[in-house]
Amino acid sequence: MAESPLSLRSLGGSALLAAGALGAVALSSAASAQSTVERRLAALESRVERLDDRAKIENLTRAYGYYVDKQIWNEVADLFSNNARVEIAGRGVYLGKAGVQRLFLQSMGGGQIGLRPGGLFNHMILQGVTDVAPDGRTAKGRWRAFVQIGQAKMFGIWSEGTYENEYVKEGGVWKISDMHFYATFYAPYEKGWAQGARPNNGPTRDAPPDAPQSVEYDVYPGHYVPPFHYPNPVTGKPWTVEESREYSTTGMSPAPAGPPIQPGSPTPAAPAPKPAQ
Amino acid sequence: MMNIKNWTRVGLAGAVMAAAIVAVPALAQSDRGVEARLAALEKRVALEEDRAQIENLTRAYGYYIDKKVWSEVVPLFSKDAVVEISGRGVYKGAKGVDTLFSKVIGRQHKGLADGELSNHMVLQGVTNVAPDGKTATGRWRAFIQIGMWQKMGLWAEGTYDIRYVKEDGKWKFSLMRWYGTYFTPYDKGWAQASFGNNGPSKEFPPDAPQSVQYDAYPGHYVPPYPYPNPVTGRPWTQADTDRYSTRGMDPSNAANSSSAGSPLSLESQHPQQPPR
Repeated sequence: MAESPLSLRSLGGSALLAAGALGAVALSSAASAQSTVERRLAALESRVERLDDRAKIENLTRAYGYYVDKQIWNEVADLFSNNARVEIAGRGVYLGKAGVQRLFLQSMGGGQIGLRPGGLFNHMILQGVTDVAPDGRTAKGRWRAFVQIGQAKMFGIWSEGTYENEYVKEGGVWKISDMHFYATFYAPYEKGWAQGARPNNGPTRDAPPDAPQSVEYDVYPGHYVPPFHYPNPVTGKPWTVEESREYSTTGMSPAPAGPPIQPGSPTPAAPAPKPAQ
Repeated sequence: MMNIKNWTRVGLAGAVMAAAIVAVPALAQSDRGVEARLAALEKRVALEEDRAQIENLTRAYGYYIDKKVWSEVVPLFSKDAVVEISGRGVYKGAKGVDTLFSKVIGRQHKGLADGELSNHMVLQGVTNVAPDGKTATGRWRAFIQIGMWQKMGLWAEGTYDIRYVKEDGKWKFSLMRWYGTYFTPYDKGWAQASFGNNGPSKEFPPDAPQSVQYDAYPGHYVPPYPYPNPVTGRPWTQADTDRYSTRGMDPSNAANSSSAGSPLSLESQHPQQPPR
């Protein structure tokens, strides 16, 4: 019996075809496994990146506090983005690189870098609630500063306040793009907050802000609830400006905003008693 | 004769096989890519964990100091640790660390005395783990309330400069320096009174003298930042520290009129307490 080469070839062809089909199936399933692995890897990389972002934002904000402690204003000013917006207490809004430098070096520092002898400006940065945007390009943080200000033999002040910050990642480096510090209280050490309360710091004449204070609010004995940037972590309900209004006093600040309190200031005068509302 | 259809089949199958053969090395290559990315991920996650462990270690230290549980404080340090608290001088190694905490600071008493307060809040950690995951640096601050019921109350604050090392898979303190910023009696506050740093113990002297002489309030000292500026990357230098720090203004300096009096050791304010 003579086998037809044709049929052999035909058989071989069929075998080849079958093998090829199998190969194609294997290939496509491998490709699909590969794309699943790819997706999971990319998701993991993104999650780890967000954790790293959070660590960097924490370091950045705490490092800010350590520079402010010692009034190293040039290092402070360098922590902000080019288009930053900064508002500290009642000093008004400072914009951009030039504004940030004017605020810290002039309004806060009075043209001097470093503490004056006998000066104290401890600025503890605590309790960060930080949220990095899913795309990893921006972030928000609420922090508080617990503050001891003093000038030996002249005055000592306890102070505390809330920071609501925004951050931006520029060229792979996290910077502060928006900083708003709301003072809670300024209490002279010798009297304490039950007996003495000083007003919020107002604008500096020599280094005026780019825009007036954006939110008028009361410091102690009045109170203000700076809007929480985050929704309730359990219910997800966002905080509204209306709620801040509902839970805040008006017209209870100790006195109209006075000159900034800082080491080197003359002994602060006692605030004028606030007329009853 | 083989017909065209069959040859086409053969050709098609061959082409698929050929494609599969070409695809195998491509897959292997992408496996290597996956492998490299997984390894990078594992490394980064390990560094995140390192940071979490360093934070816990440092904060746990503070909770033990609160209650003066020295036997829990001492094991937190590496074998070759170097520790310097305030102006007490440098203590080295496990034995030195034990001497410093149990004998000098603890005055050979375990735990708080009745009526004693030693709150040691450890806050504001700026931590950086080295890329190899073997060492790390940290800057922290302690905000402190010291007291003895109906005798005295003090506020104090100071900076911790800490180096960490991973020994046998566990993070430990390899170097700890604490610089006092101020010590102020509660009843007067920092505007009116301040104490100087604690000096060395005569009874249990340090292994080496104080490494840096510096002023506590009303003077001030900028402990060198162990990290570069987080945005500009500019490192902090000793010259920067010198430029922004005072000299000769420590309250323990007799020439300083802001002194509350003679040099004062916090330990010396603690009452005698019965051994436990």
